Amino acid sequence: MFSIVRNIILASFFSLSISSLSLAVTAEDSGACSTGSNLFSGTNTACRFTPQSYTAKVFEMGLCTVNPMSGAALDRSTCTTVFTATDQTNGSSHDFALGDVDLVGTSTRPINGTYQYPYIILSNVFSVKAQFTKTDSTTFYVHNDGGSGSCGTADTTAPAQECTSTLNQFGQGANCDGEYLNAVVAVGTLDGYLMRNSDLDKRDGASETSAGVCTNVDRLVGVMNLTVPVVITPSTMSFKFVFNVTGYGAQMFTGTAPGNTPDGGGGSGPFSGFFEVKDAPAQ
Amino acid sequence: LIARLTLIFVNLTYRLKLGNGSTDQDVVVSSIIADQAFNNTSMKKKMLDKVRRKNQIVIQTGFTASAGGV
Repeated sequence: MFSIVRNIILASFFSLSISSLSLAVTAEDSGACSTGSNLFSGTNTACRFTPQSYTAKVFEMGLCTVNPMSGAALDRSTCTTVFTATDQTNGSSHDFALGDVDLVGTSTRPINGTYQYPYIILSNVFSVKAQFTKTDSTTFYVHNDGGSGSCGTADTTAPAQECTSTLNQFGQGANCDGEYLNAVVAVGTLDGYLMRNSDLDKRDGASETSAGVCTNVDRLVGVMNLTVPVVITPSTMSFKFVFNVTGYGAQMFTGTAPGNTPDGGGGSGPFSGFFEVKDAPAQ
Repeated sequence: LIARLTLIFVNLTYRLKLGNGSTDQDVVVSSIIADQAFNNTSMKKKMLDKVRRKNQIVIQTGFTASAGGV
């Protein structure tokens, strides 16, 4: 049972990481939670729904002309940083379920030019508070009790509790798998990396494994390879990363599908997001 | 009878002043060496004057990096 649950948790993290870094994509979509008779429909052993809160920590965003992750660490030599959080310990932490937020940090206009590789550096820890109500008024609450899912158990006992999910492994094997490469998205491909903040070294392989997960992970870095590069001009007025929270921010899991029992618990879950560049209107 | 033609040339330079007061230039630059480096004067009377301008206007806007949720 433990291994099953653990795999579910890892799958949950996997989908979390992929989608949260992507451009208009939802990878590993588990399907929406059903408001009908079965919470988990079809063969889905997980389902996603809108959390009441979803907190992520943004440390940095930037644009690069060359893939900054072609080596073992993040190489910013061809990049221009567009956002740097003031607090480099905790990042700019916000509840993105509330919509747009004012990041706390420094925005810097990128040098005019063409960039193929936007990137974002996040904390590998996400917080959610989630409950889901079906049409028959049955409400499922995700708890912060350390059981089952990435946060804890999920059942009909109120209230929902805020909890944290930590991403420290992509794969389901014994060794650290800290990279997820070439996820196909609508406008290119996406790579996700588990990183060590001190040197932004990519965590991967047996030597960086302990207890089946990657060691010294405290950052999640996403790099997109855009099919059509973004062009920064004097008219460019904003660069924005948008988390898709509605319908995606939380997940529940089950061992039996179709079914109505979230015995695999709950936690954060497969978010999607996109980068947005806006130009000023023509004069 | 001998006719003699006498030609006399006069080079006359003058400045015609319109109106009763001194011109703006007279006011701003009273002599070839001014006492003040930059003199400001009202442009109110020149608001309808034709001007030459470049129609291709390039404005660099302010820039903001942000994040949000939907």
